[in-house]
Amino acid sequence: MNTLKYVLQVISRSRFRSTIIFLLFFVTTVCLFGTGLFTGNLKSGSQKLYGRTYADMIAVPEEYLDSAKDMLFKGKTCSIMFRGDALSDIGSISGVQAVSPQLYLETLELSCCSDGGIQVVAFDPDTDFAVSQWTDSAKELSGYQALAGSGGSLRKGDTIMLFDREFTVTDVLEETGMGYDNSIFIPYDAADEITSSDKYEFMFGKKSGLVSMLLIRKLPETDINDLSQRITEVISESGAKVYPIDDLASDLRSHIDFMAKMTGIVSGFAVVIAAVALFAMVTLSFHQRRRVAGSMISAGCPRGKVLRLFLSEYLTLFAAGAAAGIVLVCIFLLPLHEELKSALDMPYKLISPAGAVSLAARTLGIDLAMLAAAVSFTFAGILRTEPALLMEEQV
Amino acid sequence: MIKGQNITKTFGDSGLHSMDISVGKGEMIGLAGASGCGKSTLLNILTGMLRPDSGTVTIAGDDIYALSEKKRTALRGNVIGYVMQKNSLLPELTVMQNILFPAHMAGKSPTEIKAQELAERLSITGQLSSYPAQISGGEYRRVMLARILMLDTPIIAADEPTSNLDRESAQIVRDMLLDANKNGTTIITASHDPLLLESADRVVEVG
Repeated sequence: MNTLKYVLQVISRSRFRSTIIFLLFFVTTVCLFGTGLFTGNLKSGSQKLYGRTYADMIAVPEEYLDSAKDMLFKGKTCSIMFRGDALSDIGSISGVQAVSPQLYLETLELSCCSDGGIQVVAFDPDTDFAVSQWTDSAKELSGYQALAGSGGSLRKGDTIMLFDREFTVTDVLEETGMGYDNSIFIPYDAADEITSSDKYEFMFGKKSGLVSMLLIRKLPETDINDLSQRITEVISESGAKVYPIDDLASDLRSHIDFMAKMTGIVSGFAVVIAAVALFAMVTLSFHQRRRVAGSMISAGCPRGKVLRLFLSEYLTLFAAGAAAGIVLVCIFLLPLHEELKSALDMPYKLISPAGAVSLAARTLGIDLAMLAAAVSFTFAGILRTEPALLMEEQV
Repeated sequence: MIKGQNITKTFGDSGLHSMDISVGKGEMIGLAGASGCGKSTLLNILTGMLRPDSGTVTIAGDDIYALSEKKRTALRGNVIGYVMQKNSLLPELTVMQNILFPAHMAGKSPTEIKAQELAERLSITGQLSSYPAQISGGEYRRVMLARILMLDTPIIAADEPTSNLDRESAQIVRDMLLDANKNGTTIITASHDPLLLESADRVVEVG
């Protein structure tokens, strides 16, 4: 009888014990891997808060600040609009590397992409440094061409009706974890045509030159606080203010950090309980099987071989429990990714496959360490005990 | 072949005190004495299962407690087969697998044909695919004997091999031990069974 056959037979004949140990490995893995993946996704989205805008500051009227933050970081639709003329001097301030306007237009229901309104982001391909970082085709966008965020069902070549105009999707952006994922990007000129049109006067007041915010990029050596103060002085009469992106995201980042911390605490608590239960269960089952160990040793089976047989059994249960836990987490978290993202109301982006593999490896490592601790503790006792006493023989 | 000198092992007030025992090759020795006198303790010590407080045990000239744990364990699978008093079958294995298991562990290549033959002689062929929990006490003890006979060791130690058995089962076990002895196997058995003790070449009073 080989070790595998022995192990499988023992597992199938000791269903209760095997099921409990399997479940403990399963629960520990779900807690560790599930919460690790969840918080990893939160942090992955959080990290994108800085990098994805590629802007150091934004200029926006003070009263629209919350709406701008909600749009940027949470994907909430908004229609911020103000005359951008007063901000045209920003580009000439020393220390400013680039300035690019964005205009947010909220559509009515768009069946292909959203249950409610969808955010249309207009940007200027000539001055843009944000969208063009995500795709090269941003610089070539013109006329009624559009880029689609990753969150919708739009594909390259699809057409969509926006404000009575048919736009052709020339590219789909990769996931950012931010509000941009549910947006459609169009050239600023096309948006300007919409806002100044008669048909949409009721929405936009037939105005041109509207902007929602200006994205500002500073020169690398420039102090951001000093520059922001100087810009604010220049544009003081416009009612707009300059806000460093880092400051805007700090509340959200704190919120994410808090949530990640809480999830970690709950997960840690669950893992500790599962670990203690696993340790107790493995220890107890080893103890109950001292007679079996004694029987094997009395029949000439070396203690190392006894340990190998027992360990193979627990490792098989560990592999099954851990694999089931990882699969369950993937089945639950991956298909519900978009739902979770919108329910969470914060940036949420899947970590990379390499990150997920590393997390799974870490989870398995912790599971194995718990098993090793329990087995070492119990088997040390078996190693120290005379075979006759293991058998509880009447000595 | 087996020599125990000055063996002392105490458990509180009871135990063995300076016990000497010598068993020759091919001999059948019966250990007799009142319950709790230390017969099982002596067998455990002679089979390398329990280190004595003092004294030595030699088998074929080797002090078994001077050997490494690994070598002492190997001795049990290859030189001494020990039929214990307590239940020692592996509950998750069938009777057939239990019979073959010790020989596998001792690195031998047991054949199912030999196991079948032993099972026939011990009248347990009908139970070969059963699990230990599914067989009677008498059958259980016969399986324990079968797994040790599979090892083909030159020495067999048996602790109360016929206790709690019906007459028929006890007779089968006695016959098997006597057959093994006739074929040259050294037998040491602790027993209260007068028929088994009568068959022994010598009876040693313990305690």
